[in-house]
Amino acid sequence: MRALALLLALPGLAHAADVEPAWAAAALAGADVPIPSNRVTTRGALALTLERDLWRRLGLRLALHASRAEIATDLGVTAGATLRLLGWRGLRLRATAEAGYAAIRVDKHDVVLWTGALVLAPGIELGWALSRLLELRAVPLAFSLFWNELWIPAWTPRLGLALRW
Amino acid sequence: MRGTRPDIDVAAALRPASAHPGRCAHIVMLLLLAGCDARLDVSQPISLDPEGAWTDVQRTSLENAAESWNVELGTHLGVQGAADQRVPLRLSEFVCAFTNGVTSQTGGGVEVQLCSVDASFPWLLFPLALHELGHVLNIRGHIHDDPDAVMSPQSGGDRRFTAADRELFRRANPGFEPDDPCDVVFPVALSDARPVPVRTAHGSLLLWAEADGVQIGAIDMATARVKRAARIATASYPEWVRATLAPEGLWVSWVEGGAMRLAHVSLPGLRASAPLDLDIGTHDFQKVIEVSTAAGDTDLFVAISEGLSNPVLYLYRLDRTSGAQRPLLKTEYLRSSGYFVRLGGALVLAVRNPYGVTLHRWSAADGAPLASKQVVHLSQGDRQIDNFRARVIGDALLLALFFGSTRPVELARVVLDGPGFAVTKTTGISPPGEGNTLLSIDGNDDELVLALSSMREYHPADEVYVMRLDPASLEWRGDWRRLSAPDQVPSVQPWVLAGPTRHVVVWRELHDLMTIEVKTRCF
Repeated sequence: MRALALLLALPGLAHAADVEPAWAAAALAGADVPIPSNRVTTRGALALTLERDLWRRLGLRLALHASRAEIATDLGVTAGATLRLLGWRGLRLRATAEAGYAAIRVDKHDVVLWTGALVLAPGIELGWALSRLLELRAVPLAFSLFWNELWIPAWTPRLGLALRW
Repeated sequence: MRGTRPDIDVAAALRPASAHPGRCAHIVMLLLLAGCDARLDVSQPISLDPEGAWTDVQRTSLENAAESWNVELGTHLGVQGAADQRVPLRLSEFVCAFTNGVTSQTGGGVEVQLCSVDASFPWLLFPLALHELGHVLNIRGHIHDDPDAVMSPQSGGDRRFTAADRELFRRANPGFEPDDPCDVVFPVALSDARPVPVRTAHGSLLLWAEADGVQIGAIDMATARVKRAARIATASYPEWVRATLAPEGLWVSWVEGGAMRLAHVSLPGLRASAPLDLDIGTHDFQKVIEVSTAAGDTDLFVAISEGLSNPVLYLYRLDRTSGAQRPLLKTEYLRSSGYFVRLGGALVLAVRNPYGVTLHRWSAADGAPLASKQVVHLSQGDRQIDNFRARVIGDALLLALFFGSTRPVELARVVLDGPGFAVTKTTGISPPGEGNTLLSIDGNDDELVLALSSMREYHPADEVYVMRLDPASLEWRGDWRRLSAPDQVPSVQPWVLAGPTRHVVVWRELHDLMTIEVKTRCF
């Protein structure tokens, strides 16, 4: 009950503490929408991230991604940096930049194959401290740029929760 | 989904495209890829260069897609041709995860990547390559309201060049014109009835059925362009449109609401008389398989064949002045379909028999039958004929007999001889491909032209081929020439019209039961 009370505590309490936790782990859900999009390649997506604030506004992030469309399943890992652009009361605005690799399983016309791509993922995310430990996180403007002899961009909006400690 | 650009609607796509090579045109791509718009000059040759392991079948599909654009719009796409403008094409597994094909118009050039899985199926590769080549030819947008259009973002299907495709191309390449009007096909109309080409002393005409009338178009034999010139209004859709030349003008007949109607069209004014209902007996026009008309000196002769599996031929005469019906013959014993033609002073009825054509003859003056039945027997062993065409060219009746796929087409030249006929020449012509279905023949004193529909290996669609022949010897002049685009048309029916210098082939493409398109091309 004590822990629950801490989790649900008012954002103002977190702000009042004025001590930014160094670590965070987040679980986010959303979509990978290739540009241009269509029904069979738009993916439902999940992401798990582990973050560590290093110095002032700069942090490091490691992320695991999984997404699935009608004809493809992606499993990816990325690492990158976060930069806090704005911190005002419980609101945080961050710019993120990640790079990594995605393994992609294609199942099309009864043909199954594996392929892969390098991934660059720039984005802007918003965090709203629900409590000292819990943050609501929204990523409205983020893209993954897949490279395998050509670039294919995808819009990757996410929404989830982060646990900070 | 095509291209590395987002889909945009056709209205946006129809806005004039940039005429400045290298101009950065798309804000999203500018942000994401720092890409610049690479445009090709479609009036100059463009070489498509397959990279990696392409099979012969895949190369053939690519060649067909390139030729379809060339034939439909007059471009100069070629596979590994001699050209300064070169477009690499690669097969990619990665692309399969996101789309079927991507055409990148960024950086210094244009390149295409096609999903290797789609490319392994010829029936998927052809429409995919056809679509991506549209982007190679500077088209940036898509057509969202017609899934059959070449530039529809939907995959597969029976693709065809629609008016919206042509407009997209025209807007993307303003000012472009084909080198020669005969390089490209001309889309005349959507009509699910047979078009009727007619040569008159005042020019060539093309008649076709539309929802509420018979449309009469004037054919420019130098370009194959057809201009709408007159119209016979009907209360409902006219079927079995036929036309017959007579000294006083053109007689147009059609079936409407279960009855046969007739109108006279003056020449060269193309003024149509009020339609005349003809009482030519009780027919179930649902069962009609052929209608043929010919003009005698005073009468119009009508042949109606009924019944698919067991045809019966009915013959009628009508006084062209009064419209009075004069039954000629009701021939249950003529269990076949046939054509009426005027040959000199005679009316000739050509009727199919199992192994050839039977000719009957009447006097054109009074319709009196002459004892002149003759069988033109052009046997190919025990092979029965599938269908035939009869056409009067000069003083001779040319018969083209079709014995089925891969079999030679037999030609016979028949003239009047005393009270009967004489066959003066026969020849056999090997077809260009497989699965030949329908043929047509026409000519003048200098040249005969033969058109037929055929299929090629690896390409299960009908295409129009033409052949020139010497009218006296029936010898070939050159080889078969393909005139229609090698797209995905399941059935094609051609008619050929010979002109003094250039000829025109008219065909209808049966894409499906709802979409039948009439096209022309000169040669």
